[in-house]
Amino acid sequence: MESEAGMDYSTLKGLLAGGEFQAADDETRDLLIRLAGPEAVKRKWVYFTEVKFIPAADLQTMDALWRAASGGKFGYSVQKELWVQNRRYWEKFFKAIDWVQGEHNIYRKWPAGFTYSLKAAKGHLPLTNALRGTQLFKAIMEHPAFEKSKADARPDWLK
Amino acid sequence: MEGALGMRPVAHASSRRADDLCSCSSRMARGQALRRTPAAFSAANARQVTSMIATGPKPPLTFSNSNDEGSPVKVSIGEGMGGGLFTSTNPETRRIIPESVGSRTRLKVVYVVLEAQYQSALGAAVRNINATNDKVCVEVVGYLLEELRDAKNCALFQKDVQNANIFIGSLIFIEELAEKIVETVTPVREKLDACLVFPSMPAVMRLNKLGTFSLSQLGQSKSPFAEFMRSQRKSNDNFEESLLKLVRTLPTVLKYLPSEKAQDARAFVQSLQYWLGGNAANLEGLLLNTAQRYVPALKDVEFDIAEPQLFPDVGIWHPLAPTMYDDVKEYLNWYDTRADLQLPADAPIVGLVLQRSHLVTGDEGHYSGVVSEMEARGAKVVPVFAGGLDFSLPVRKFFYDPLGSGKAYVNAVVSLTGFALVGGPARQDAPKAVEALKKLNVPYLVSLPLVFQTTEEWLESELGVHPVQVALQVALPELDGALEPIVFAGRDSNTGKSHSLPDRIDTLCSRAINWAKLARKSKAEKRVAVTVFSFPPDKGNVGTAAYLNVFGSIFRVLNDLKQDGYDVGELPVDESALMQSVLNDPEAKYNSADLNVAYKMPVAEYQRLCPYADALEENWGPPPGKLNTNGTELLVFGKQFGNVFIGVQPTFGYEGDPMRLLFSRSASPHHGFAAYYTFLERIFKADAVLHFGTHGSLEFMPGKQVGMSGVCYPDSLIGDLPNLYYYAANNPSEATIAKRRSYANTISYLTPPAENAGLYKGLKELKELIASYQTLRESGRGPAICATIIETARQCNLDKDIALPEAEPKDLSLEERDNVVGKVYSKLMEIESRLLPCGLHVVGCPPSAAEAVATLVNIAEIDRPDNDPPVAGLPGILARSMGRSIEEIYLNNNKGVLEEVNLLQDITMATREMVGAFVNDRTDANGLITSDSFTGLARRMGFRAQPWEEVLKGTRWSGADKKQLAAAFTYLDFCLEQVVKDNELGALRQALQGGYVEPGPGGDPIRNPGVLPTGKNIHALDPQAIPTQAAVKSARIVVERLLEVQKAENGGKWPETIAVVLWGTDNIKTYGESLAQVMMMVGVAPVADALGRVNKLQVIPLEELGRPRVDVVVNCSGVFRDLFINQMNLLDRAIKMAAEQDEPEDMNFVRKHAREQAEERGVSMREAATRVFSNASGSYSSNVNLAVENSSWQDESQLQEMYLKRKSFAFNSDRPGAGGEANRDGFEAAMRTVDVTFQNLDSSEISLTDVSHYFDSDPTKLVAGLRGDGRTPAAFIADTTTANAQVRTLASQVRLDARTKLLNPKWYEGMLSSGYEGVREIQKRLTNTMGWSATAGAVDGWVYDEANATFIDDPEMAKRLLDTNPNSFRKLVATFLEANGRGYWDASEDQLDRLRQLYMDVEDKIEGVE
Repeated sequence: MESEAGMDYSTLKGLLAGGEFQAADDETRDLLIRLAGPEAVKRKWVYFTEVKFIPAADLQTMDALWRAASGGKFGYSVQKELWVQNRRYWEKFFKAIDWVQGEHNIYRKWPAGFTYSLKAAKGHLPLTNALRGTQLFKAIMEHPAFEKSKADARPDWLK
Repeated sequence: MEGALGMRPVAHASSRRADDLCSCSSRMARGQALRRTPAAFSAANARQVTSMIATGPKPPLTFSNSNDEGSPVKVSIGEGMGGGLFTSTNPETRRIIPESVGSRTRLKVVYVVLEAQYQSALGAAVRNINATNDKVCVEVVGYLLEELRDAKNCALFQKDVQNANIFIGSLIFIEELAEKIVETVTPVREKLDACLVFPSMPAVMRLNKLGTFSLSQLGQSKSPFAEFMRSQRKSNDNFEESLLKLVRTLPTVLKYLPSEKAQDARAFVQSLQYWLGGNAANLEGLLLNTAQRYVPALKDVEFDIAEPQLFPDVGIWHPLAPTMYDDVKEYLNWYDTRADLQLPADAPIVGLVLQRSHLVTGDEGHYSGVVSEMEARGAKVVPVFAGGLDFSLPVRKFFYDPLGSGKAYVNAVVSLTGFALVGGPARQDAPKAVEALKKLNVPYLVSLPLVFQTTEEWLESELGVHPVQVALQVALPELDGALEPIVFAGRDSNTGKSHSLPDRIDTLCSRAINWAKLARKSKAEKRVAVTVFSFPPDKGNVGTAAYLNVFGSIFRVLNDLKQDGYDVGELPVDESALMQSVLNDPEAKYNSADLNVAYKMPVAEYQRLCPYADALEENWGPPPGKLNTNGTELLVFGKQFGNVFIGVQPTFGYEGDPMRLLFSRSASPHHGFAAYYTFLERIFKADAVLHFGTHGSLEFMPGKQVGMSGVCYPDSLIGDLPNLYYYAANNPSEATIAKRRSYANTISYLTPPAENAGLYKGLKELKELIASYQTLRESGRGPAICATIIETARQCNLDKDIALPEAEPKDLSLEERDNVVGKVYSKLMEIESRLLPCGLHVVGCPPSAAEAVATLVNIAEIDRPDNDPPVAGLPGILARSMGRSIEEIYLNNNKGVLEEVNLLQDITMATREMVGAFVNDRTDANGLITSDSFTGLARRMGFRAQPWEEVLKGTRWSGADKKQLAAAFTYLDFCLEQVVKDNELGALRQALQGGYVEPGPGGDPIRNPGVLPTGKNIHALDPQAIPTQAAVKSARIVVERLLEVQKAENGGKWPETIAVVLWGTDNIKTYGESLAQVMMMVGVAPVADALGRVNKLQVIPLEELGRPRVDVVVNCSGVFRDLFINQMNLLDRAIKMAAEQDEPEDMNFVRKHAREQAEERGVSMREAATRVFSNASGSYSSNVNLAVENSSWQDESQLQEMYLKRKSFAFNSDRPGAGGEANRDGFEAAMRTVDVTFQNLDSSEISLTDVSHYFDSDPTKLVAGLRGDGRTPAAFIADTTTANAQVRTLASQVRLDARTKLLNPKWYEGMLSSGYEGVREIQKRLTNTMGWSATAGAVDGWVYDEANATFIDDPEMAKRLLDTNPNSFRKLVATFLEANGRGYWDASEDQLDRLRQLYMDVEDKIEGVE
């Protein structure tokens, strides 16, 4: 599994392969923090400006693992696609990926409010912390890793 | 005024507001009626320990013990949020019980805080103690202040405190809740090992106890604490600041105290340091330190306790910064070299203001969210914090150019604290805040984190933000000039932590940056969208605004902007050409039916650019719909000049649809409305929009009352545009709605200079006759002149107001004749001296000194005992010099005692003369104010008399008190300068340049000259400050007069029930007089607390009251409800309190009716005493005004149905969070008992026929229909606009209005001098007059006859009206025909023929058939 950052994705792969989506979700956020660098690790969360330093290969790896494990239902690139389809309006996008519920668009509560199975809506996973706003999520989706052409390419090691 | 919405005064105002009002019902979620979703409060899940939106980092392992079991399931109780309370969060989520106690000492800690941010840090501290400490373990339970409103929580709290060791309280500034805490803690205080109360109201502070240390005991001694407490008793200003200062200085002082006492006092100071340092480590230190010293079981047990970790009082914080900075240069050194972010040199710079407690407790998610959104949008941030509540300190310290130029470094300031800049929830110090902000001179926004509600509760609430939070965090910051109360952070129901609300932060940051950019963009490039209104929808009404000559004002503004360097293209030659360019398609003929089309927006473009377009389809179908469209495209009306666009705001769109008027809760803006604002923001790309005059409909669109969510229409429509709004200075209530709901930065404008109404035609003749009567009364000609006077008075229809004798005057005694003449004279003087605004105001054109005289005279007539120094009214001073009291003279004048009428007239004339002479003396040949230093000196030295002394010389008042006169004129001098010194254009230029618009109160310049000079950002008042003691005093007088008048007319019987209308503006202007009136009627007195806030009530005993308690039905305007929901709470409590007094029913009508209604309706007595009603949340007005203005009603029963349907939402103090609940049965039952209907007039500018709101809210005929006996209730109006307050019958007030305005040549000629808009004003007076026929039957036929004679029968006048504004003239003609058709006016066939002919002529003219 490709990593320019020297990260080990075997845990993630194992969890996803075992269908342990919730644990895989936790691991994904954990990986993201480590990919963002030591400052982020210390802080325990990622600032959106740190995302651009994360190598495309690593993000694509995580994304590919999620897509593979979910039959194309989960993953950053899936979210990106829906994000663009919803014209980058958060309100509509959050509805589409089922992060809000009810007529008042109430945010689901983490962790119990989310669905950690293939029954979830398309793009529902992985979760990205929006406690501090949506810039981090946006930075991930808008990362060059998920530009249309690149995201479509299937890495060799998955073929 | 607020009519429905508040008031929109004058003509223009009137009608549109209605529209506005009407329309708006709010729904929070587009598209559906509001339902509650109990699922939102689902059972607590064992794993829901930490919850965040979307997701958060993994919680530390230590979080997971203890709380899993036994945490009670949250129950959704009843209807409405929190079962009618404001919050349904459960304190049990905050209880932590140690898992295994073992040999450890177990402590119980109970805390009550305002700041939810302490919840997670305290929880972490306790969990850490329980997990690691081998000597002690802790059970903790916490209550958020607001939860104590609930009886169940309160009982739980009492139980918890019973066996607690330590009690902690913080920021308790809400009296009713503070009282509960004092009641609960006082009895167990001795038992508690320690009691720690951090900044709170003095009564709660006195609970403090640490060993020998107690603030209450020290109150008598000479210690620094004692001085501190004493100073708090004197004034509560800067409460927290002084406490913090004490903490800083105390260690040195303590040396001088006896050692034991010193130790305990030091322990308190240290506790405060631990608390303010609020992270988990410090809070652990606080608990262990207190336990070790004061819990007997732990005496002498050694703990390893860290000293308090201290943080700077003020500083700069950034989520990525390695440290907090206390120097802006150091911060920028770090900021500008960040590797992750490089911003261009010209990036806008936004200063953020934060609360340190959120940073130290680790509850910074919402702050980090704003910082990242700002930076993502390319703005540089300087986030500063303060540990106390004086945020002006970091503003002064960190927001200026680090190079020392003295200029602001930031381009805008956004406070994320929600608090007033100085003082927070304690007493704010607005002058200090304004001083700091004026100096900085950048836009100042205050955004709100949710405090008393969880995110879900806010999302589901129709009210929006909790009313107490509105009072503390919206109304108080407004006094500092704060803009844009946007809720940007939610609160998690489980952790109490704040989190970003993504779409709100988005709005907040885009808007703040757009404000900041105003300072960065050159004037030549800046694009401004001027928006004018059109109410009711009719071409004759384009450009309506209260008191304002709109096109004249725009013309002036454009010229001013041009001079200032803006690109305004090629301006038309004059205002009329400017108006024509907007009103008419140049291709079409003169007066075509269509406005000029500025832009045609294809439907596809509209759908692409307007994100909420699809939400509008539910009500209006797919775009383009039928309004503002040519069938294929959406049309934007207006005209562009260079970078300025003048556009016409579309109307609500359903004004003529009676079904929608009845059921308008589902209304939303139509596609044309949305297209207009989409055009401004996305196509025209405005840098700012300027709404021109009072007022439009944007801010009355559906949505929450305060604290919009992303689906509230005012928020969606205004989008990211900075909103400037020229607003009438006398309308603070509706201005406040515009500020809160459409994020307007208001700039006040003056109402036109007032003049005395004067006399004309027969009235003038009468005056002359009276003069000759006075010289000849005792001669043989006396009776004959008296007979002529009586006859003329009849011709003038004065017999409706005065009882004229049937007998021939020759058969009357001299005294009787004198009395008849006295009464006529008194009535004439009342008409003559009435103030009326003449013509229409033009922005930036203050009145000349001479034009201000009538206003100054009225200012001079009022006693102002609360001024510093107190000012006595001139008439009072003159009366006293004769050994008389002015009140007595007023009284005799009202009775018609001829001599006294004469005397009062003489005093009035002398007052006018003195003021005239004074103004004359202060102005030069050009009418400008001057100060001639030589004259001044001569006067001071006594060589020359003051001008007013010259006037009095040789009169019977020559002995008037010189000192009092001098004080009065010193005050008038100040007022004169304020009147003529306007800043209307200056404030606009400053705001467009990204400056701060100085705040000022709105109101009536006569009552409160503080509203001057205009050009200020209007604010209302601290809603908790009313009613004031002065207001209670005036209210008592009015209520007594009202009851006397009614008793006299009703065979000595007291009225049993009075229906009262409460307006927002009237209560702002009078500091709560009408609110106090209601309390007086039921015999309950408001009581102010230690901070001067009115939250308590006291029953006035019957012996003291001296009359029965009179029942009431309180009809609150929608604006009153929005601004004063806490006062509605107070009223409801007052009325229920009266009903619950065990008193004989013939002395307590509230009780009598409540008991009867309880029996009839099968409800409890308390529920049957429900008397406070308004519209449903987010809806305004009865819509009767809209129906009348648009002639869209069948018969009166339809109007009454609208009233019943829309105004019968009850407020219930037992379920305050539920808002207005539909209760038509209760409303009808209460209205059925009404004997008297009653409203207040609060200022001379706005009277019964100036606006449509007064008749809109009048229930007179409605009551007649509901009462079993068919009797029409007596209708009264209290007129407190002059020093001699009057209670008149409604019909008499309508006549007075007609005589002084509609029929008065001085008034209508003044209006006509404004041309197009003036014709509209005349037409609106007639429509509003007819409104009184429809709702109360209060208009005499002669009023229509005279009006018809003036405007229709006079061919020259009719032609003038037709040529000047054919659309408005058509409406005028139609209104006469309608008044006849509906049976309100018995017109002759000739009159009708002429009207029909004129109608056809004007139709032809408008259609271009000439």
